[in-house]
Amino acid sequence: MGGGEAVIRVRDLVAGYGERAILEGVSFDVYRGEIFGILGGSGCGKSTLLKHLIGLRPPLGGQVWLYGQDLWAGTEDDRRRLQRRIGVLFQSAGLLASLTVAENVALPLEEYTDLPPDMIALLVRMKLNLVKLLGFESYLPAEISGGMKKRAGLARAMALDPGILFID
Amino acid sequence: MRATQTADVSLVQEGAVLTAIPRGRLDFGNARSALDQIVRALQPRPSEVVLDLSRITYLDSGGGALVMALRERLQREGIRFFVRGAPPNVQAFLLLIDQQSLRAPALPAPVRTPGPIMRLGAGALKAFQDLRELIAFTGNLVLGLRDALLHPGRLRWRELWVYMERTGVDALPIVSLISFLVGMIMAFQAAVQMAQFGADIYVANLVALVLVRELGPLVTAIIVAGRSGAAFAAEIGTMKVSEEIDALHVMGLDETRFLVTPKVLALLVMLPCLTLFADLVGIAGGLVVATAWLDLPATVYMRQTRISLVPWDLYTGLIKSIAFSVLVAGVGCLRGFQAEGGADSVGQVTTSAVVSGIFLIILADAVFTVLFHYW
Repeated sequence: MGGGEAVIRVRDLVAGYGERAILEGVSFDVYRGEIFGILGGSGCGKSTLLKHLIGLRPPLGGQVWLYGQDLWAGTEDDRRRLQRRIGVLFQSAGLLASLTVAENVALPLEEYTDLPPDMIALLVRMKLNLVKLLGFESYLPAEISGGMKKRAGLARAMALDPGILFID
Repeated sequence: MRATQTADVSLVQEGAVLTAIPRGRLDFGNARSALDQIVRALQPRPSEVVLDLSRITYLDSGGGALVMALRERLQREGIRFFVRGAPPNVQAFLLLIDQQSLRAPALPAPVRTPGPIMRLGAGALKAFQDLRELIAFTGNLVLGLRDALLHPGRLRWRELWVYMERTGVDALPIVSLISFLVGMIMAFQAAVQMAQFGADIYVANLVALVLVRELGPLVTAIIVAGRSGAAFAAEIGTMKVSEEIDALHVMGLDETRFLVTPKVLALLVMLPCLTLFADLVGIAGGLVVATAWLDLPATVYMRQTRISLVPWDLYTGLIKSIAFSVLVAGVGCLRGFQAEGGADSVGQVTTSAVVSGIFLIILADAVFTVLFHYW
């Protein structure tokens, strides 16, 4: 366990869809600098739990705090502000098929910062370099392999230097 | 929602040396402001710029990009650039950014917009490929339908019922609405002209004949092409790009039996049913106009409708609708199999399924009309 305040705090969470609970009484803390893994058999609810943690689907019960703020207590805008401070890599990478690899990584930078285009291009190359994809900026997701898509998705998830990185 | 904060940067000019001292955070929110402040201070042009990072408390990728962007810009302008005073963690972060490899040129993108000659060649090849796929698909479809007839037990009945419900029962409201309106419009247009000659009663003949022979099958097939043809293409296209069809292949399963036969059989049953229904509802639309506008009694209108129609009129409409059902379902499935890549490709094949479906319906209708005329 790390020290200090937990960046993710989950208490008595009931995870599921609609009326159907898949997981009940889920409680844990994740501290800054910690790598926290959730393991379980196929279909046990790992991805469902993740959806509650990243603000995609409200839980059936319990609370999720990110950086000390209750994710599901505030307004949609509050939740969006919190979502800007997290990065998510989806199972299928979630790249937008009509955008190139560089455009995918640049998307959050263009939307959430006022950096000039040359600095954004530099940042995109920095992020792609971190995942060893430098050179593939102009490729569309359909033109790269599955593993490369995952890495491009990781570069996009890290674009805004999130304090928490969720990897499904 | 863009972050726009002003960076706290002190600028000290000592002779030809400009020292920039940012304080506090240097991040995505204020990196642009810091860059703008430093670039504005480059007049008069110094010979050296020093970025003193000793007062910063936090630096993220935005701050890192500022350092790199400044270095690149000053190098281009022939001004020496130094970073000093960076805390150890910031120093480590800056070392992590491998500038040499960042300057490596990007690989050329695959050719996506070839020249006119290449486009012509690619178009010809694609047309040839399309024809080959069409022939192969038609062959598979015929074999699939034959198997379904010879071995009905092997047919996937559950899917067949689902598709019959989706393509037939669920289409009833829209088919009813449009057919009723078409019947009303035809009767109204005919009434205006025929009333001038006292031939009001023949509105019933016109509405019944045109609907049963032509517009009933045609309008219904076009609606079904827009609903079910598009749905088939999108469903199979999505399965193709998500490798579900590859999975069927490697399991040794026949995708025609699994995916195409139930859809074609469902439409083969439901489109003639929908067409009959559309004929009736369209005639009812004509009846409403005739009774409300022409003051014709409903019994007279219906008797005239019965007199004007012979069984062959109904058969021609049904023969057409059977042919249209195979065309709509077939082209929808074929286009779905032609999807490649990602979501945009599914959109393209879906559009193509509707456009090709409507074109083939009208082409077939023209052929049938000529054939039935000489029959």
